[in-house]
Amino acid sequence: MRRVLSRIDRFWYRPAPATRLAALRIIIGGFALGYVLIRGPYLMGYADFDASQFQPTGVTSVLSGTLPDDVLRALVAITIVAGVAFVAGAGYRITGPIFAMLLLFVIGYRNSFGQIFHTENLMVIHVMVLALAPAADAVSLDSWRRGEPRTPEPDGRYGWAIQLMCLLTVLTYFISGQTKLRNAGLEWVTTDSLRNFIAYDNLRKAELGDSYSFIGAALVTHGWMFKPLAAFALAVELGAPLAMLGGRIAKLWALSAWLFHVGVLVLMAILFPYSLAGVAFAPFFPVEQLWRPLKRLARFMPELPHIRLPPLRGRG
Amino acid sequence: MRRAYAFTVSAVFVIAVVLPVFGDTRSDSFPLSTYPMFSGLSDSTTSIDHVVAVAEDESRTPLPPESVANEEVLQAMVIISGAIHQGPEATETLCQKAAHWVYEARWDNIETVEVLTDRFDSLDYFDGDKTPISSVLHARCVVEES
Repeated sequence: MRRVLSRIDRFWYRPAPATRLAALRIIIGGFALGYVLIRGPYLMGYADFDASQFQPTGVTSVLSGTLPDDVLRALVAITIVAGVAFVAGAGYRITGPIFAMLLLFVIGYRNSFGQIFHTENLMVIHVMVLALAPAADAVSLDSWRRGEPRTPEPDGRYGWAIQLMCLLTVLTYFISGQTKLRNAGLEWVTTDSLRNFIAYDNLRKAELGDSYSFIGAALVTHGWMFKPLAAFALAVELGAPLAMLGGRIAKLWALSAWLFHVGVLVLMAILFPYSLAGVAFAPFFPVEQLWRPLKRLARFMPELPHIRLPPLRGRG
Repeated sequence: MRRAYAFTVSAVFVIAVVLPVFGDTRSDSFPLSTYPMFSGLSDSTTSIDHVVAVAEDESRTPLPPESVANEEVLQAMVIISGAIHQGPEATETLCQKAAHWVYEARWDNIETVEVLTDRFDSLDYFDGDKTPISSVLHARCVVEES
């Protein structure tokens, strides 16, 4: 038993560079901030919805009715301010959880008018994990203010949150596949279900005056191709746990999952921005190496104010 | 202490994400979900609740999601279905809202707006046959200054 616990500990509390967790804070937090900035007017637009359409879901279940217009607008604005602090790593122990809770609430509110969207679930979950992790110990205003002379050594306290984000990503896909098996069994692959879903989704968009996938619409008349696509989709979802083995298997799965979302976009015009941008899969990669080019650039620009970037450590 | 914190937070997240699996597979929430969309078996026939603009020459154009809700097509769909489900009064109100939108958007030659439930064969639809198998009219309103 002790050996098992020790193995779990080594796997979960695996040392990782503080800069990797910091890079994930910047990438994931930056994406979430960009999302709220770009979608701000749209998120605030829910203030105009009729109160009779309000069906609270998740965290908004605490509400007995719709929010006053100004309160919703103010919440979106505060989310943006908190998001800037989150990405910059400023007052992180407070601003991190505040941003995560506001993001959860504001996007949850958007999902509280009869239609639950699934495109932001993972983004919100990742931000919540980061908010509770020491993701601002490096490359942050907090570390700069503390005047820390160098980046902390790789440590398990930076590794667990990365492992957790990887596992939650994997679980999200696995649960999606498992739901298909529970609701339809293998018939989801062996029948024309996927083809019918693609035709139905494009049809409802066309008949509701929205843009739809011309490629998907054209291809549904060729029935032979959808069973292999269904098998691929289910394999990506049910095979997700393999990514926890790390290394090339994780990268191969991330690529497959990304291709899966490309397929969804091409055939159904459904955009999963967090996954398509690759941000959902960032925890599987040594993302701290992304600023290697910046470091090189800083070396060749001595006339600029001194830019201190963390040393490069760790390779996946 | 740091380890205990890490393992506690991890356990809470994992349990929370996995928990919906032990409930109804059709249940949904945010951000915890079983991701039930497109998970069942489906045939090619489907019913769509929608709003169409009818022109002087009786040609029909589906109204965009913004006419009844916002830019989200699925949001518009649930609002139309919700109004139909609520009854004639709610459907009439929705119809008036859509007609007002058409008037404000200055769509040419549109005389009326209709709230319909149309049943289609989705494969036939993309094979060129866009005629509904059946159609139920819930409300019709004239496009005019309100």
